[in-house]
Amino acid sequence: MLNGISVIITSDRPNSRLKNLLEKLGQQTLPTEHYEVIVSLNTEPTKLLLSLKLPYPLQFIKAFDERAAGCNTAAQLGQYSILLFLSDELLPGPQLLHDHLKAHEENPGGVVLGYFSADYPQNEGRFLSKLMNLQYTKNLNDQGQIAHRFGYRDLISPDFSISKSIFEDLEGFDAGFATSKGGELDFGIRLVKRNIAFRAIQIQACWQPQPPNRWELDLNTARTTGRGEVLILQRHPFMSADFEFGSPPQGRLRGRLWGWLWKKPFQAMVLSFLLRLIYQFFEKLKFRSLEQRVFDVLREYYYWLGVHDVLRKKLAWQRMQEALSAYQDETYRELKIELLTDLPQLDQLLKQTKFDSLRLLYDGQEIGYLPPRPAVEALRPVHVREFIVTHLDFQLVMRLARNYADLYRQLPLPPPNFTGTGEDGYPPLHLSEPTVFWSLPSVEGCILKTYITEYKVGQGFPTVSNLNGYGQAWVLIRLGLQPLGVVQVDLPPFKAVLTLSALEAAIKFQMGVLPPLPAVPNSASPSPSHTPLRPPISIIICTHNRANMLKNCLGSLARLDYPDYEVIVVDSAPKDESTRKLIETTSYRYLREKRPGPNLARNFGAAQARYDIFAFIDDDVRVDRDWLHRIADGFTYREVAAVSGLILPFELETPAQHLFEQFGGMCRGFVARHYQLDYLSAFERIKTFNLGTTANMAIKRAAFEQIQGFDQYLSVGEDLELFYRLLKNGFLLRYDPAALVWHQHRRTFKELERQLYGYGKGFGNYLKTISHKYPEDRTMILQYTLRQWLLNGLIWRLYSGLRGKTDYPLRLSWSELYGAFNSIFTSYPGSR
Amino acid sequence: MTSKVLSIELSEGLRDITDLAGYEFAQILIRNQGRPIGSLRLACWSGTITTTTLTKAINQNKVIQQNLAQMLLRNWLNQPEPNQGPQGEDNLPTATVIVCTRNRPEHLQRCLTALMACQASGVDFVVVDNAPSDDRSALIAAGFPVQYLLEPTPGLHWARRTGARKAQGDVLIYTDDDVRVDPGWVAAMRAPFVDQNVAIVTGLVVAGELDTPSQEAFERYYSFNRGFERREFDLSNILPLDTDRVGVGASTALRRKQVIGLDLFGPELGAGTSAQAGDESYAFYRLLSLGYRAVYTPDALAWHYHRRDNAALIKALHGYNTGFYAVLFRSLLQHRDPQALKFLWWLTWERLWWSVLDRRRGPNSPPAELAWIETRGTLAAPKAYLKSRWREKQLAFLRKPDKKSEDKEG
Repeated sequence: MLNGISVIITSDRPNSRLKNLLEKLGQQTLPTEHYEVIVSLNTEPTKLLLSLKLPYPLQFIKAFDERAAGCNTAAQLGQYSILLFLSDELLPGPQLLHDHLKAHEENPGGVVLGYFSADYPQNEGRFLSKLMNLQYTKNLNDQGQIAHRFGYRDLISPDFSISKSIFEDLEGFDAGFATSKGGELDFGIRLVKRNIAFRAIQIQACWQPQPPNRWELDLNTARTTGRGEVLILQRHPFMSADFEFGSPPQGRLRGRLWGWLWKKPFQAMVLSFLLRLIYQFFEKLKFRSLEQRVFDVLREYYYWLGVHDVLRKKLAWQRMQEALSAYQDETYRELKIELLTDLPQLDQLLKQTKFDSLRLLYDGQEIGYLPPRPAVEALRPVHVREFIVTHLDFQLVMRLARNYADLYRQLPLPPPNFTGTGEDGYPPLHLSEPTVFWSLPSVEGCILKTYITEYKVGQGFPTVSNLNGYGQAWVLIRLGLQPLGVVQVDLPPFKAVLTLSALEAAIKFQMGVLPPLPAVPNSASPSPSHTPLRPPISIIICTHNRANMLKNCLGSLARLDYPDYEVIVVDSAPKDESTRKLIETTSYRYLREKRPGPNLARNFGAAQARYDIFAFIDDDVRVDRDWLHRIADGFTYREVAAVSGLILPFELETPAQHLFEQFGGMCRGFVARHYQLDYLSAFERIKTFNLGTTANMAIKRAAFEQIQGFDQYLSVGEDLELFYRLLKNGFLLRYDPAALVWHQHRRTFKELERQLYGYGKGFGNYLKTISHKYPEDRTMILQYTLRQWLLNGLIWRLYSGLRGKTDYPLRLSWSELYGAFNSIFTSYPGSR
Repeated sequence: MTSKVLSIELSEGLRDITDLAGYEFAQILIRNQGRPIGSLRLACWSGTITTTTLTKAINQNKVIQQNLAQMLLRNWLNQPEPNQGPQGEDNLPTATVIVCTRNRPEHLQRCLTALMACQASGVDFVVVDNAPSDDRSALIAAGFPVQYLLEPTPGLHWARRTGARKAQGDVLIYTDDDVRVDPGWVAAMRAPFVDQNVAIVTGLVVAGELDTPSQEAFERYYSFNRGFERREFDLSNILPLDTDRVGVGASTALRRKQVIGLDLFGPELGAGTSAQAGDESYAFYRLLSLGYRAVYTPDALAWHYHRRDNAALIKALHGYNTGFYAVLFRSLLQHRDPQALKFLWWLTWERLWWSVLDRRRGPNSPPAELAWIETRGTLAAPKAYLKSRWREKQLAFLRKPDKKSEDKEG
């Protein structure tokens, strides 16, 4: 066989488009002795074509609607070693034949797909044909992608070439596909089955203009597709997953058309004719979505018309359908890649065997899955790599960098791990906040207690035994002084112990950090260059008839190691002298406020305080040893007016405490944040409960005096109101989880109910107060109240409780809503 | 409230940022190997931003994370970038960069200085001076290797048209005089045109300075930044009138044959007319509705210097709204597009109901004062459009003899 190209063109009718194409083929850069052209025509060649003077040998053959047979005959006539199949829609550039021949020389024995940039005509024509053109060019662009996975569908290309020996080996196109489009698809499937390599090249060519209104042609194409797919399924039953053959159309109109097609074809025809009229009407009016919808119905009808042409009876369709479902699927080989170990030998793995689907694993966990597809080439390393690149997120890449030194070297940033100390002694890392799925530990209906402890990273963790009765443990993970998060460890039911290994496993899965965690020295002043400011602080505790609780609080205060502070205990409207007696045993200052209300008590305490920073805590908290240091750290940012901190449960022993922590709680996250008015949306400004509570907050004297302290008429929700006024006055607030206190939640259900009643009432009062003080915000506050708080919050919670969709007890929803209701009747003094 | 605008190249390593005294925030553009991958806005309460803070912030930012992870993995696995459309030097069309200016010589100086870093073969530069009141712009243009054109009729679209008619390149890359482009800008704007279906290319435009509250407000509520991800728009994924998503006129490239053949910068729209803006919106609309493809590429980076004073900001906002409504009217009256009705209805609803009556406002919606300016702009639109039509007819009449002689020459 001669070295050259036989160009085979199939054309329906000899028109000017064919003439243009033949003339362009005369202007190739390839010498004319290296190619010939064979045109397979449906009709006799016209005089116009015969009179063309072309520099290359040209033959015409007649195919008479036997497109496949025509191609085969033409291929037999061809005397060169490469066959190039061209569509008459194409207008080739001068490089076309040269590029094809070159691609075959570079890797012989494959299929070369011409990849051209299509300059199709743009006009005011039909919307849907524009859409189809766009899709078509997109597919062509995809073929040129390096990571494209070639399949049988790529062969419906307007130009592809193949060596003649392979074509003859596969016995050419199947003559059974007379005029249908399935011929190329079927040929493509056989090519893929033989493992013949595909290749896409880039050439210059453009699309010949089509007649503008070709929607009837589109419908005809749908019909031939239907015909072709049945024929393909008869030959290759494993293809059924890719075709719409198996699923009859759903929907009223589509279903009726489909039913009529088999039983009453005439009625179906009339209906489809009506639809065509409707379609034309919509197209004229430019109603795009309606147009598209009607055309989809029509297209589907024509597809099934094609199926009907081959099978004729619905029974035949059903039988074929049964046969297809009984057919055993192809066996696909799956490649499992463990990212931690397998990446270096990826190429080798793929060289040894051929794989069809891919599963990515990281440390045994599945990360991505690429399902197998019928008649698509086997996975190449490029495909696997592209899949990895598009499926790994940042966290995973950073973790991979720990295993692969060459990846580590490329990192532009230090990866988020536990090395090095930055400013303030805090590690330079960000961890995603732990996603702990709060769940009540229960064994056969009885709720178990939760053990709470903390783990300082790098300082060891002695095994805690004797935890019988506890269902789980909550462990606060601290790195140096910074709390990183809480992990939840499930304890075994008998002989419950909490070991370091169980803890580390929990850290790994809930916080996304791999142990071992390197240690950071635990010292108050980590960097010698940094001399922290330690201003004197007044701690103000407001208490009301809870001397025994206050005792625990004072005990924790005694352990503080801060250089200069004073403690003021304000006894708010006491019933007895027990608090006074308790304080007299210590060196703290005792004040008494006769009028009831924590707001008055705190204002009184602040008025009597000596120092310039007031730290407010409640009597039911225990403070952390470094608490005051961290509060002082917060104020090193000059503009910060108030600092609030993290509040964690001290104990979770009773169901009421669990409930409180599970639905709400006081924890506001483990990431430090700043709040200022300009950077909060209107709703975020109102949600000041995100900023903290008086159980753990500190404020500068100047700011406190400028806004005149707590509102004297607001005895519940007073802290929320204070924060709102701080924000409105332009102050900067800081939330710092490092300032940590442990809060003793209410133990009994009744107390909890009362607390939630107070929350509802307090929040309602708060909203009323701020809408009185800031009339310009009234619209936002009203919207927030109605939509967010009442409807989305309380009423929705009550509704889902009534429907039984949540574990939250109905009584608590009621009491909070009742509190909100009651807040209507407390009027704000001076509001009228 | 003022912010410092910075750009950080990750591959050069991170350093403490110290010269931030007097600023409250730093608006930082993050780049890796020259490519913009995200931006950060950090508070600098103490005048410095340490590497620690920076690292932390970068590690928290989703967009940067995603882009960075992809770049790292591609480098490491030797997986090439996905090629968008056909590649190749020989298919690359020639390009002309057109800078339209009017009485802002100091801006023009900066713009041209930055553009000179983009010189390449097949690229030439044109400055169109629109109805200047003196010759300062001409003097500045004379100092650079650019072609200087004078367009006496006031109106941005006239300037753009003149530029298109006199340009030599197949691709016209339009920019304004208040823009400073990155050295790779022209190459990135030009590359997607290898695909014959691409008719529009737009680039990433970020704020060049944020020194005044008006600039801050503009960047926050009406930013030109369309994200750090490459996007392709065509009929299948965008309504042609939704041109705001495609890009901005300060960094836009079109094909010359379409600009002239379809008369994309036709009369009635654009800065300088009473419709005040909307010429590029109309061009995008026209091309998208004809079935061409638009590409937004963040690789083409330009820095835009927003209006410094409040009056200019208000005028610009007013103008954008009037301009966009004028585009809607034009698509309705001239092209009989029913989509325009949908947009008119929807936008009127949004403007009047959402913005002014203070309902359904998200966290990033502009404050009521600015929303009210927008509304006033939309209310002024019908009259402005009709007035602009009338006036442009007069102008075209006045220009006629001049235009005819030009056509004869051409």
